[in-house]
Amino acid sequence: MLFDGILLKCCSNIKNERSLAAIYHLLQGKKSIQTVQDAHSYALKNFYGIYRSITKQLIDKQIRQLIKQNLLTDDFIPTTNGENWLLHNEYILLLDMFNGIKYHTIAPVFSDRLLLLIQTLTNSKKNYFSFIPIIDKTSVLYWMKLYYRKIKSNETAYLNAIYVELQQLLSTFSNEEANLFVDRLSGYKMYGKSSHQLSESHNLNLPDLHLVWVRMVHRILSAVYSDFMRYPILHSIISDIENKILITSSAQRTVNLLHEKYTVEDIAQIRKLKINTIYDHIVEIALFDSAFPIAQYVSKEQQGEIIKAIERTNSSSLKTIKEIVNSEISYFQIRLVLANVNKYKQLR
Amino acid sequence: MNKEDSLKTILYEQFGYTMFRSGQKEIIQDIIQGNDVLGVLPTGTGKSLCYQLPAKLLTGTTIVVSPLISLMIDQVKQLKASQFKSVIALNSFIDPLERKQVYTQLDTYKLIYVSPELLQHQELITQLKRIQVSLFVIDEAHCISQWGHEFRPDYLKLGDIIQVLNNPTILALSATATHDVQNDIVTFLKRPNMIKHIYPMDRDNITFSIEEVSNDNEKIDVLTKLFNRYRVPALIYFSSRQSTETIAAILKGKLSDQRIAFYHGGMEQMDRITIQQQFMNNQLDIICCTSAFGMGINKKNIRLVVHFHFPPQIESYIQEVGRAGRDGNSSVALLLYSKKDDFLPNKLIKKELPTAENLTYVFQKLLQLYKEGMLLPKTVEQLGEIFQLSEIQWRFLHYQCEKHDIIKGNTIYYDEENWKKSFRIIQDFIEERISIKEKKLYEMIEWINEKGCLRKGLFKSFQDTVRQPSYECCSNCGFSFFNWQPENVELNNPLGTWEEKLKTLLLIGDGNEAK
Repeated sequence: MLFDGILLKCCSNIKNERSLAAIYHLLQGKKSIQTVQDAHSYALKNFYGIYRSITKQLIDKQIRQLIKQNLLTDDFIPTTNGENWLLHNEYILLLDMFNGIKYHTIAPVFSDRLLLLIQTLTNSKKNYFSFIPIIDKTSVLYWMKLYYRKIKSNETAYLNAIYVELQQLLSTFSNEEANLFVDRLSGYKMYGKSSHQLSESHNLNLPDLHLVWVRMVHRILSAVYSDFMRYPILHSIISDIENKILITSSAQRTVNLLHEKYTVEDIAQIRKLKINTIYDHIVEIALFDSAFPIAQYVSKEQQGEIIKAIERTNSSSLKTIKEIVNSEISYFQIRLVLANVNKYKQLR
Repeated sequence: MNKEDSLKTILYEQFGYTMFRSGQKEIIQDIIQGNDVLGVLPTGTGKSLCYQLPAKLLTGTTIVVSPLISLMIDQVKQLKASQFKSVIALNSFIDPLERKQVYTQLDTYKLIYVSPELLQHQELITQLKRIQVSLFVIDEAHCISQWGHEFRPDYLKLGDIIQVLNNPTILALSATATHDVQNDIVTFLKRPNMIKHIYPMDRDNITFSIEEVSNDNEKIDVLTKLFNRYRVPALIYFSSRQSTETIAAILKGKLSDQRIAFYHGGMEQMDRITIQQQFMNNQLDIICCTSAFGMGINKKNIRLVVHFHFPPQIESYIQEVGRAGRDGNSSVALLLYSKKDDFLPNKLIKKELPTAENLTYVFQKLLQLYKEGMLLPKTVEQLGEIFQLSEIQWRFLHYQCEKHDIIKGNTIYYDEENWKKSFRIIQDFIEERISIKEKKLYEMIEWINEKGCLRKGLFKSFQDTVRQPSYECCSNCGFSFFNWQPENVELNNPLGTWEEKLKTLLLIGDGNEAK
C-alpha cells in the first residue's frame, strides 16, 4: 500500500510529462542531473533514492495493477478515484516523513552500522566472538573494527545508552513499526528476522516492508541530526560521514572553479568537458544552494518572462515553456529558473 | 611435549575442541609427515578439520579445491568468526579488482579455498607458482571419477595443476566413495602410495523409515500429523527451489505453532546465513530445503530428516540423512514416497547433460564462429547464451571440446575429420553418463522398494557389514513413530512488548558478564 501510494503520488505530480523511467530513476536515486531536477520540479525530492534495489519490472508491474484497479489512467495520470485514494491515504502513509534527497546516501550506511553495532556489542559483552556478522560489506566491517577499538570493555554502558536512545525514538512510532524495527535486530545467539520473515509476520509485501524501514530510518536520522545531544551514540555512528549535499563529485569540481571566477567556457576547456555538462552542474548547484546567484546567467527580465510562462502553462515541462517564451531564452536558462522557483514553492 | 599432545593443544587452542573425532588424528598425522592421503569419512565427522589444522601447522599455504562456491564462502565466514583470519575463498564472484589485489598477496594466506573453474586460469596458476604450496586438498574427491554421481570434468585437470605447483602433499576427501571411485581417485592422481583412511558410513543412532503414499497431499497430511506431535529440529528435503517455498507456506498454514522457513541456493547470501543461524540458535524448528542446505552446518540435535522428494542417488541420500543426530541421540530419517516421484530425478539428469540436439547445435555454432573468424566469448553467461546451454551443460561440453582439440583457450580449431570423429565420441560419452546416472537412480528406487532391512540395503555398496543400531533399526524391522519419544525443544522466542524485546536483545540488566 505504501508503494502504491508513492507511485500514485509520483504520477499525480508528474502528470505524464515524464516517462515511467523517470520514476524508476527517481526511486533508485540515479546520479544524473535530469533525475535530480525532476525531483525538484515535481516536488518529489523526498522520494529521491529511497529504493535503490528497485527494478523497472517491479514498477511496471505495480503500475499495471494500479491501472487495473482504476486508480490510474492508461496515461499514468491518477483517475478521480486515484486522487481520492491519495487524499484519503496520504497522511496515513506518512509520505512526508521520507527525506530522500537529504538522506539517500547516509540512510543505508546508518542502518547497516546500527545493526552490526548491536550484534557486535551484545556478543562482545557475552565474550562470544565466533558470531557471523549480519552485514558483510567490507566498508561497514572496517568501520566496525575502528569503532569497536574505541569502545570495547565499555559494552554495558554503550548498550544501556543505545537502549535509552532507541526507546525514546521508537516511542514516537506506531507499535507496529516499533515491533518491526526490534524484530530485525540481531544480538547474542539471536538472529534478526530476514526480509521475507518480516514481510510474513508483519503482513507487508516486500516493497512495502523495504519502504517502511527506509521511512523509519529517515525519521530517526532527522531526529538524531536535529537533536544530537539527546542521541549521542546514534549520532556517533555517522559523525564521521559528511552528509554530502551535491549529488555528483564532478559538479563539486565545477563549483570550485566557479569560485575562482572562471567562466563557463573556461571551465569546459580546463576540464575537457562539453559546455552543456557544465550547464548541468550549474543547474545542480542552483538546486541545492538557494543563495546561488542565477542572475548572472538569466537576466531579471528573462526570469520574469519564464516565471510567467510557468504560471500560464502550469507545467514544468521544458518543451512547453520553451515554446511560449522569447526564442533567445535557452533551455539552460529555463532550467535555472525552474530550480529557483521550486525552491520558493517548497519554502511556502 | 610429544607430538600427539602438541596436536591436541592446537586442536583446543585454535578450534576449541578437546578431542579428535574418529579418523581426524590419523589423517592429520599422515599429512604432517608428508604422506598423501585419501580420506573417506561420513558426513558430519569433521572432514574439514583434517586440513584446517595442518594448514595452521605447516609452513606455506594449503589450497582447498571445492566445487561448491556457497559452501566455500560459508566456511570462510565461519573460520574468520572463529579467529582463523588468514583464509580466503577465490571464486568467480569476487570483484575482478579485488581479485587482482588478492593475487598479489597470496603468500599472506594460510588457507586458500578455490573453485575448480578458477584454477583453470593461467593468471592464478602463475601467482600460485610463486608461493609455497605445502598441501593440496581435493574436497568432494569423488567428482574426479566418472563412476561417481557428481563427475566434474574440471576435476580431471587437477593432476596437471598439482604437478605445476611442485607436487605438494595431496589430501583427497570424500564422504561417499565406493570401492570403484576410491580406485579411480588414486589412479587418476598418480599417487599409488596414497594412504587410505576409510571409515564406515552407517550411523547407529539413525532409524530409517519409508512411508508410501499416493500423492503430495498425503505427504502433507503425514507431515502435519507428525509435527503436531513433535517439536524437534527437522529438515525436509525437496527436489526443487519452488517446492521448498510452496510446501513451507502450506505447512505454516497447517502448523501454526511450528517455526518454519525455507532455504535454497537461489536466496540472497545474507538471507541464507540468517536462516542457518536461526536454525542453529533454535529460533526455527523446521527448514524446507534443497540439497544446498546442510553442508558445512554443524547443528548437533537435528532429530528428523524428511525427504519429501528422494534424491537421484544413494550417495546423496546418505549424505543428507547424515545431518541427523550428530549428538548421538535417537534420530529418524523419513522418506515419503509416491510412485509418481520416480520420474522427478529423470528430469534433473537431463538438465545436467546436453542432449543430442544440443550437441548438434553447438557444433554448428562453433563452425559458424570459426568461419566468421570469431573467438569464443569469455564469460560463462555469454557462452551459455550463444550455445543455449545451462552452465553445467556448457562446462561439460567445453571440457570435451578441449579434450578433442576443437577449442584451445578462446580459439576454435577446425578439422573436418577430427570434428566428425569427436562428435561421435562425445555423443557416446553423454549416453554413457546418462546411463550411469540412470543406474544410480534405479539403485535408489530399488532401495526404496526394499523388502528386507533398510539399513543393510542402504550401505551394502559401501561396506560389507553394518553396526548394531543403538535405537530402532528401520520401518522394515518394525519401527513405527508410535514409540518414538524424542525430547521436544523448548520455545525461546522473546515475547512481550517491543520495549521488553529490545531490553532482552540489548542485554539490559543482564549481570552475567563474562568479563
